[in-house]
Amino acid sequence: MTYGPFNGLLRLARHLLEERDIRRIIEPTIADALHERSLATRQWVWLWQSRGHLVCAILRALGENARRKLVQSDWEPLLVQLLAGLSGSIALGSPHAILAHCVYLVLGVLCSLCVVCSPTGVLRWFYVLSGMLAVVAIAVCPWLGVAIDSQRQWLSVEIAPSVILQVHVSTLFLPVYAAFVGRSLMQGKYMRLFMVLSASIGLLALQPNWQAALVCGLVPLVVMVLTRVRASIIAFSVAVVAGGLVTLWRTAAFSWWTVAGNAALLLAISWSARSLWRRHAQLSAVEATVFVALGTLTALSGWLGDPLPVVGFGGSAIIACFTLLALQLRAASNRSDNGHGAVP
Amino acid sequence: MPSRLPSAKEQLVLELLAEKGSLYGLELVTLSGGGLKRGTVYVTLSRMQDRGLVRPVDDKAPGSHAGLPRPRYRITAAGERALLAAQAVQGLLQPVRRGT
Repeated sequence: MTYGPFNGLLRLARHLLEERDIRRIIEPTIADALHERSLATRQWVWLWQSRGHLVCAILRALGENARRKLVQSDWEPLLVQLLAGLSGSIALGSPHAILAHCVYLVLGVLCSLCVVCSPTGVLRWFYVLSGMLAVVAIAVCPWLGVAIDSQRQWLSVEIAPSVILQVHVSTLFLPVYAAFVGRSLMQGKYMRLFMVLSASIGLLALQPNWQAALVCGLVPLVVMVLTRVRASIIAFSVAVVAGGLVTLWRTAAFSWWTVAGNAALLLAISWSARSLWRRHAQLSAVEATVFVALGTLTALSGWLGDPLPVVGFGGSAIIACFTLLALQLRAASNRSDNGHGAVP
Repeated sequence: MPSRLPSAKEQLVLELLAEKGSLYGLELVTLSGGGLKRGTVYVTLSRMQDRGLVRPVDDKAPGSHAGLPRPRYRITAAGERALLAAQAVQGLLQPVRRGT
């Protein structure tokens, strides 16, 4: 079906807006414009006026969409995470570190707001692109990067993809899965296999310590298998923390505060996932669990590569944590809209 | 039942629909005398539809406008009640606004 001069704007609107907004707002606006065509004396005036009205309708629909999402979202989890982050910043000790941590917390909150308000189409493309970028970067880094402080880095520049990607590999891949699961184009099982393989291979290739790489690769695999059979994430979280305690308590980096903080966070996330959100959102919660678990394990063991999320100083980890939580909020609000598990 | 009173724009739409029966979005814009804009009328109507104040009729008129929906809107019972409530509140507030 062709809508003449409005095809381009309609295509743009389909990327930015929900289907119901297209049906209720954009299509009637175009229909009105087409209705007026025969009455217009100057066709070019009609064309540009109609395009202006359509752009205005798209912008207003975007604003309305963002407002609706903000109102529908449950902000309690974000507040909890912010408080957890603030408590972590106090533990850092030095004023400079505390200030930096707080700046990252603010950035994290802003990222959450952006994710909650963003159009679904934009969000989906963001995750597809960032997921692809992560795969390429992981694949190329071991060959092109140079080793500095036991970390593979990009040609001696300050960006350390080995650090960033180890931490965010699950953050990037699981939302991609969440965004596409249930869509005929990309079946869930293939995506899952793809994620596990690329995460494991990437981590094995990048980690200087093969035991650490093995654990990092296996943790997402175990969580995904457990979720598949709807096993309790709480049980898994407790097992991770208990395992960390048993194996690592003799090391110099051991801290009860860190363990307790992470255990509480894991339990809170897991509990929320079980009680409030299902399917896609649950996967996001699993991702959070993996994320925190990896941080706990690596920080406690003294392995290089992973800053501790929320409690740690790693800025990108904090931002990723908040972005992740926003995805959960999105999924939860979509679920209340549609009555079933929703694409974030 | 809607949880809050309609906004000024929503009240204008409700008044026009209560008076004329059912109207197209474009007709609402024309009859509002500048109170409603072409680019925003359907956003307002969509929000009102969510709140159950209006409902679309003739959702699709086949053969016209390249098959696109050009619905007419009609006020609902909830919309009529909301309009009455808004007018009542306005009536109560009018002396206060005049400063008497």
